[in-house]
Amino acid sequence: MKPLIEARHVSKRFTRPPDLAAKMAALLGGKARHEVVHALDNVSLGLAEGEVLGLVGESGSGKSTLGRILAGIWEASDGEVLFEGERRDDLGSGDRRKADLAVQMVFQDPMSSLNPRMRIADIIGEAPLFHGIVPKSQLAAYVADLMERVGLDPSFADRFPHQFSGGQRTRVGIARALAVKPRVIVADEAVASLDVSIQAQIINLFMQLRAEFGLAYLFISHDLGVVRHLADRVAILYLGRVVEIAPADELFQNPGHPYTQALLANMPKLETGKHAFAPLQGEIPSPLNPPTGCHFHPRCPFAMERCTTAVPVLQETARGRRSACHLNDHP
Amino acid sequence: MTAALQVSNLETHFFTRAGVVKAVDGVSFSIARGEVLGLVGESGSGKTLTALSILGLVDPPGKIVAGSIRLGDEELTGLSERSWRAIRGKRIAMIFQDPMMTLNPVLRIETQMIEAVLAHAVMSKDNARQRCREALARVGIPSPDERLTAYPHQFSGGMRQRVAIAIALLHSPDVLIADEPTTALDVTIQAQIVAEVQKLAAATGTAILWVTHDLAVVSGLSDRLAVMYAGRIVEEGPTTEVLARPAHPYTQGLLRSLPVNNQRGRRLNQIPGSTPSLLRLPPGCPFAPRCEARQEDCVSTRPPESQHGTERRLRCFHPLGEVSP
Repeated sequence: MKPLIEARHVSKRFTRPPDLAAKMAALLGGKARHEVVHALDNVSLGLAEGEVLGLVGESGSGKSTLGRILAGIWEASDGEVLFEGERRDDLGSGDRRKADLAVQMVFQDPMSSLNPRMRIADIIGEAPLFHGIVPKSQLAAYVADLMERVGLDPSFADRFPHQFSGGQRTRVGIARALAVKPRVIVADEAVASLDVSIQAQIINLFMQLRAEFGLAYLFISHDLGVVRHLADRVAILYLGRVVEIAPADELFQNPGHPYTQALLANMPKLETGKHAFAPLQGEIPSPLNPPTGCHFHPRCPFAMERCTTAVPVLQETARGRRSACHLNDHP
Repeated sequence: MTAALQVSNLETHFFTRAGVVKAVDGVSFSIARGEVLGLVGESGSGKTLTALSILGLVDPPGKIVAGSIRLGDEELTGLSERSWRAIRGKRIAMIFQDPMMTLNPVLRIETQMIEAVLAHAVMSKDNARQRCREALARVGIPSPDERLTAYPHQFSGGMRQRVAIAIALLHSPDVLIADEPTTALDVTIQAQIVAEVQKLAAATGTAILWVTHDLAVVSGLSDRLAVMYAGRIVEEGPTTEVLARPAHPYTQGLLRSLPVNNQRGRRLNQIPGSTPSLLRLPPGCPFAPRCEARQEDCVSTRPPESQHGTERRLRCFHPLGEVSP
């Protein structure tokens, strides 16, 4: 199946501009030191029409960076993003706008992603009005319909974000994303800050909207339970690289990569009861100075000498499953 | 045997311009030595304020208006600020959610830790430093000698939380109160911290009150579980019992709404509505408006606490099934 949106060999580097001390040192003939963070390193993955791809990783894994690049908020340093098989950068301005509108984002913290001085009706209605999706005369009805679909009372349209609870604000963020009729929604930790009972309501809303509009989601989360529930496929990121990508049920039943195995083993479970924890040792390395070879080797229980030098390639291990591990060559 | 910590009918109210907010409204529980009690609730349920009340850290307009807090044989309510300071950090310690807020960013770890040691013990600075070094080593911080001279920002989130735990355990407190200590941490780091705390508590006999919104984290850690809703404990019992056979509809609703307890891809069971405002609580059971099992008495009368067997307590007129002791 042809992916709707696809990242091909996408890398993203953030460089810190040299501060005053570094500039002085450079003037005096010192060596200029550039701090470069490799947030994403040669990542390729695609999202098909109507598919839910879960993107899992710990802090610094680059999951939000990838989401923002696919949503067109940030540019990739290397590689390309394809929309319906065409390079997004090569599209003419009309098509480019269409491609950009087709991918919308829902953010983690609705308090900082909603303008506190705008009324809900304006937050939701601004973009579709600007892009000519609805004429001004029908805007109020359009907004009311959207609010109803995300489970908000349309009579609240004149309220401000602070008058809503966290769950309701998340709903506003979803309505805003839906307002420009997207085909893909990038949800970046959209349910992470919500209480359990509210989180269930929002997850249900995501599933209902998917059925209603045929949406595809890139669902970014650190919560494996939520991802297992929603996703068709799951990609696991570690320090800017995809270490494993597989259909969700297979990945959770039979994780292939040692990091995935460790994540699943460390995932808090209800049924385990009181038990002694056997946590994965070590820290997540700094992306400023990632380990050589396989990024995971300092924490990996199966690490071999080769892991410290050679970067494992993401290769197919079974139909629809890919993983990046040297163990794949030694079955 | 005296419990390490015994809280009875604790009421902490906030006197605001909009009215009296009963943030903690008649909370009772006890924790034995070496025991872990998980206090679970959603935002606004009063779980953090219960913890702060036990530490005497409720600021005006908040006030403990009734109830008792006993640490061993000593009553803590009504203590002077001076007496509090002798207890806090020595006999009761706390770890918070964000160690970046509890550690002073402009002081070396060493400075902060030695200050904490000398606040409650008379010894030379060298001995104090030695004690800090051991404390850091005990919580699994590599090369503690070097780390002592570092600043908080030079630590990762997980390491900062380890430092906070090391400081909390410096005086081997009777009670450790942990308020969402792993919420901000990644999965693998969270597992490390939980394992560390579990090990240390078992070794020292410290009683732990673990406050969290995450049922899954406490399920593997706590001996007993108390579920809070709108300022009250609505259900309490041994963790395995409460999880396997929840008796309060709210507990059941919480458990059912977890994705792990639902078939993949199916609509999640959800509790309708949202948590009530503590300013305008309904006259009956505060959960009644969201409860599927509510009947007339739930709407009119507040359910009192009932004891089932020796270990389970409940605030519900119509519990689900037989409540097993």
